[in-house]
Amino acid sequence: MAEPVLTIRDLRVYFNIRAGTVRAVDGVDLDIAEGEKLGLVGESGSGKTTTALAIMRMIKPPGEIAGGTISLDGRDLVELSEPEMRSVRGNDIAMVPQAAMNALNPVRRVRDQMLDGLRDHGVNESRNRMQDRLTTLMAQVGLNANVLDLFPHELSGGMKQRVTIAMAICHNPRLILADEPTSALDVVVQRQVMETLEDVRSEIGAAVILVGHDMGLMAQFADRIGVMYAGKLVELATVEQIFANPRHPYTRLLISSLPDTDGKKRLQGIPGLPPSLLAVPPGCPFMPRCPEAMDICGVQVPELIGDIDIVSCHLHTEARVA
Amino acid sequence: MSITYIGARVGMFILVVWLATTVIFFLPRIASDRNPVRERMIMMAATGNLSTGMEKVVAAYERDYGLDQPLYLQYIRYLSSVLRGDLNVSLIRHPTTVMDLIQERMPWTLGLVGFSILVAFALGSLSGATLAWPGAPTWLKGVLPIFLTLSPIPYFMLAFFLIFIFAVRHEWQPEWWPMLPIAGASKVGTIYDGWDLARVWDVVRHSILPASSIILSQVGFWALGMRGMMITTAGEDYVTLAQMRGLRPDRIFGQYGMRNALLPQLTSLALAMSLIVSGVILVEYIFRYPGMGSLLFDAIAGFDYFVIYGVVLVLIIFVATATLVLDLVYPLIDPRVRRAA
Repeated sequence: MAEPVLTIRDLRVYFNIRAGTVRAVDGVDLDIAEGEKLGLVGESGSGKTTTALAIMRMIKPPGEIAGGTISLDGRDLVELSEPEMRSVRGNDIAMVPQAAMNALNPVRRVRDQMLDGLRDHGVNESRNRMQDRLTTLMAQVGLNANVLDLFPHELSGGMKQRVTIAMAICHNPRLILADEPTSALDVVVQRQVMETLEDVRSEIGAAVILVGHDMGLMAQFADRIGVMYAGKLVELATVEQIFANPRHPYTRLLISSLPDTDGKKRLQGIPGLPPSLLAVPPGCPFMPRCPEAMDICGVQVPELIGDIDIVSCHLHTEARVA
Repeated sequence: MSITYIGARVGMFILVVWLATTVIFFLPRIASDRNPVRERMIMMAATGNLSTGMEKVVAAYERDYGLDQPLYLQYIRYLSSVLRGDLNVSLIRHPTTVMDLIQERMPWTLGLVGFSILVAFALGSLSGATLAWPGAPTWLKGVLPIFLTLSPIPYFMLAFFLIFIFAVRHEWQPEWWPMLPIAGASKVGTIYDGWDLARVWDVVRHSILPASSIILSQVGFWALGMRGMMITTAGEDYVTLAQMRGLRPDRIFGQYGMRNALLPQLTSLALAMSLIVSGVILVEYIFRYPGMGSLLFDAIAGFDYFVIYGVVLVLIIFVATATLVLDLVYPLIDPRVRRAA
């Protein structure tokens, strides 16, 4: 495996509210290799978006990064001052946001909003050179240069999302975080936008963390998939491995909940709800919903095992012991 | 912005001014049958300035200004003279024309009130926006409740309060503190030719208390509105994305935050203009400030209805213009309105 761009160790993001401490992300380890496409899946509240926000250091009070390290090329982002972090945002790590419908400033033209990014990261070139840059960026994401002169309300949803992708790639970041970038778009535009994202990604060689819950989309896009549950990473493996041989019962259920193209199988959900992150029960957080739960699952948190394909489940600790 | 849009706004402006003028013409005349000319004559007679022929003088006046004619004819006569730019003559300060009176008073009101409203709006909006943003200075958080407490107090009550503190109880202030004038717009009996520094200071000194009473009671209102708008804006996706793009904090505050939060504030400003103008009349009266407010107050007291008409007409035009300007400028500051326009 290539040298990791981003190394996350024991990341903990806690929200201190009156009712107690919500452990939104609770001890996540993750490596992202140069140019790698990592999918992060899980239900709402599983901590996938919070993990992405933590990488950006955009956790707002009452939330905080309660522990762990996030190293980008050996630099721990958790330790950076706010001004230092500002120069990382957009420059080294870029974000493609979830709700592009509202992600652009309604009173500024696309051109000015793009220029804001360049100027605030110290790009100070002649008008013509800046202009060329913007035109190139627009072409990269498949937009006509005259979009630059429009206001956000004059763009379609797909166009807006393309503009946010253009903003994300304008400083050639090492890592792009894409938080459900297509959730507000219809399926045809979804595909186009994902293809655009993949094109520009391979062009600049950035790594991508794609956050979402659409397993189908993940299967098409990602190299590896991390499955999150109740603030923890429960399985991390290559796409082939995850779909061919899912090892965690939760992953299995996630995959079997995908609609079948034959249309014969009844659509299956996962019964039950994830645990409250205020008071996570002892043992494996998935135990109450797990069809294969054993006695030990209620007592002991399963450890993460494996090097490349990682899983946290007692089914496999026992298998190893036996 | 299309011609039809501008035409519609200007048409609305004319309609509003005409309707308001009509209402204000009939209202005092229907509500009261006082005769200001006769009252004036009786007063003069009482002080011995006029002995005989009072009825003749009154009749002559009424004939000259058509006051003996039916009200609807007077209305037509008034409208046509207004259209010609003639606001008639003051019935009490005869033969001074209403236009002259207004021209004399207008600069004082524009100076005092215009300045105070803008200062209050700017201060309030800026502090409200800052308070809504993360990292607001602690002292500002302490100051806002004071202004919020002051804002429901009417201007004129605040004016009395200021007069008490800064004039009646002058001994509460330190030695070096200048005595602040509580009446007039400049020192009585001083004749200035042109504007030198001494005169500017004189005028500024006289405006401190009346301006303060307006500003103090307004800042909280604007701050509260702006804080609410800014909190909403701070949670918008475009502000979050701007932060994630690593834009400069001052740019995010100004061009992404305030620029958007200010839009509804400007609407409120135009709409509040009429309330502000009417409230300010009393402030001018209390401080004997020679502006439109005291002119109107004196005119009402003496039932000098041509002056009432004139002043109110100017105020109506002023308020309607504020709304018109907002309507015409809004598409320029909010591109989303442009399509509809």
